[in-house]
Amino acid sequence: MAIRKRSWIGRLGVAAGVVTLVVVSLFPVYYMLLTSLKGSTDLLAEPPSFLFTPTLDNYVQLLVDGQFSRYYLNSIEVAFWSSLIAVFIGTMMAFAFNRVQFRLRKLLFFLILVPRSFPPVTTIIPVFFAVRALGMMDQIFTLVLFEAAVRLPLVVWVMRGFLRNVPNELVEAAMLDGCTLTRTFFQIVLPLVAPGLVAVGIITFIDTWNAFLVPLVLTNFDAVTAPVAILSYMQSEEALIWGIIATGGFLTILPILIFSLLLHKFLLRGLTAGAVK
Amino acid sequence: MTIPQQRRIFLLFFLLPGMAYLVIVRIVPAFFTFFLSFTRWDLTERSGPEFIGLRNYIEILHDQPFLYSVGRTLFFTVAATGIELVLGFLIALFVHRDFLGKNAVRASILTPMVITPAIVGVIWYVLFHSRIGPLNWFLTLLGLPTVEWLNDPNVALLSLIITDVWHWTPFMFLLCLSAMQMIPEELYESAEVDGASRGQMLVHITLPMIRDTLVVAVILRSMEAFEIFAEPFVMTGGGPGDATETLSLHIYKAAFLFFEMGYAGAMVVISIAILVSVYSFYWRFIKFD
Repeated sequence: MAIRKRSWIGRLGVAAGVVTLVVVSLFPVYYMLLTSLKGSTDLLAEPPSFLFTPTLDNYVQLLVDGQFSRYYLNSIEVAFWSSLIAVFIGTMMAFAFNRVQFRLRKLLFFLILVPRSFPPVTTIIPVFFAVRALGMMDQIFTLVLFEAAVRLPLVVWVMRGFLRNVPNELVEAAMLDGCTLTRTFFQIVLPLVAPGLVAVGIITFIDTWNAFLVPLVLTNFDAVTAPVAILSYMQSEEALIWGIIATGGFLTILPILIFSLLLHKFLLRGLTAGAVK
Repeated sequence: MTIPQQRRIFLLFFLLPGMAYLVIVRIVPAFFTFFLSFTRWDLTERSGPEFIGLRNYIEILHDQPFLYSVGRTLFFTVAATGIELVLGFLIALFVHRDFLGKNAVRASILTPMVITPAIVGVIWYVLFHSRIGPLNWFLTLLGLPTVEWLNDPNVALLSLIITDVWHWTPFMFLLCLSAMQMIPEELYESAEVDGASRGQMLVHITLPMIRDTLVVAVILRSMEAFEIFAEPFVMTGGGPGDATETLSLHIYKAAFLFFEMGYAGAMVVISIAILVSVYSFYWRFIKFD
C-alpha cells in the first residue's frame, strides 16, 4: 500500500503495535532460555526472577551427566536420513508424474496425497504391530523408514512445482543424444532444481525433527529422540527439574531457530509452496 | 528410444518403487486399522484378534468419553482456527506497510510456527505454572486474580487454545501476507483516485483477492488442529479430569495405555470418517493440471 504521511500519534501507535507483536512472539522462547540459565535458588524464586547470575549448570548436567546428547544425536540422524530418502524418492516420483501421461495418473496422485491428511494416530496402531512382529522396535532405522514415508507426499507435491520449470526440450535433447534416463535425471534435471531440493529438504528435516507420536510409540530406550526424551524428565514434580526441562527444550529448538534465521525467505517460500500456488 | 518404451521405463524406475513404499508403509496400515476395528483385541491377553463384527461401532455410539473427546476436539479446532484466522489477517494487514525494521519484525512474528510441538507444550507448561510461572505473576502485577491455567477444568482447554493460537497464528499471518503481496498495487491506486475509503478497499479489493488463500489456510490449519496431540500430552496429559483430552490423545490412551487395539481402531475409523465428511470439499480447491 502507498505510504501515507502519518501523525506522530499514529506512528507511536504503529510502534506500540509492532513492539507488542514482537514481545508476544518471542517472550515464551526467551523465557525458556532464561529458565535454562537459572541456578537452583532462582528456579524456585517467587515471583519469577528476571535478573540473576546465569549459570550453565543445567547444560552440564543434561549433556555431560545425562544421556541427552545421545537422544539429540538420534534426532539428528532420524531427521537427516528421513529427509534424504523422502527428497530422493519424492523427486523421482514427481519427475515421473510430470513427464509421463498414463491412465491412472490423477488417481495415483490423489492416492498419495490422501493419507497425508489423516492424523498420525490413524496409522500408528498397525505400524506398532508390524514393527513389533518384525522385531524392529526401538531402532533408528525403523523411525527413518516410517517418517520418510510420512513426508514423501509433500515432497512430491512441492517438487512437482519446481520440476515444471525445467524445459522439456532439455530433457528430450539429452535423451536424443543417447543419454540414459537415469543420467539425464541426475546430471541435467537435479542440478537445475537444486534450490528446490535444498528448500524441501530443510522443510522435511524440520518436520521430522518435530515429530512426536511415532517416536513416542516406537522407541523406548536406544532410539529415543530429543522431544520424547524431555518428557521423561517432566514426570518429576520437583520444580528444580525445570532447569533441565527448559535446557532440553531450548537445545531441541536451537537448530530449527538457526535454520529459520539463516534461510528465512527460502524456508517460507517452501513452506507455502504446497499451500498457495 | 521409442516413446512407449520411455514411458515404461519412467513408470518402472521413477514411480513404482516410491508407490510401493508408500502403499506398504502408509496405505496397508490404514486398511489394517480398518480390519482391526471389527475385532476385539486386548493386548494384555494372549489370544489374537477375535472378529466381533460391528460391536465396537455400536459400543462407540454410547461411549461418553469418546463422544466428549470428539466434541472437545471439534470445539478446539473451530475456536483455535477461527481466532488464528482473524488475528493472522489483522496482523498481516498491520504489518503490510513500510516501517523501520520491517523484515526483522516479520521474522520474529513467524518464529513460533517452526518450534517443535512437544517443546511448545514444555514452554507453555512453564509459562502457565500457577505458582512460579510468569503469567500469574504478570496478572498479580496488574492487580488481577491469578488463574489455575492447567489445573482448573474450566480453564485448561482455553489454555490449550491460547497455546495453539501462539503457535499457529504466524502460519495464518504468513499465508495472508503473501497473498496480500500478490495484489497489484494499481488496484489500490485507481480505487484511491475514485475516492474509495480504506474500509471500502479492504472489503472490495483485499478480501476478494485473498479469498482463495484464506480458504486453503483455514482447511490446512483446521486439519492439523483436529489432530493435536503433543501439546496436551506434554502439558496436561489430557487432564484435569478429561478437560483437555483430545481425540488423538483419547485414541492413543485406548491403544497404548489400555491396550484395547480393536476398539481404538474403530475410533480411528470414525475420526477419519469425520475428517473426510468435513473436508470432502477440500479436493475441489486442489488444481491438477
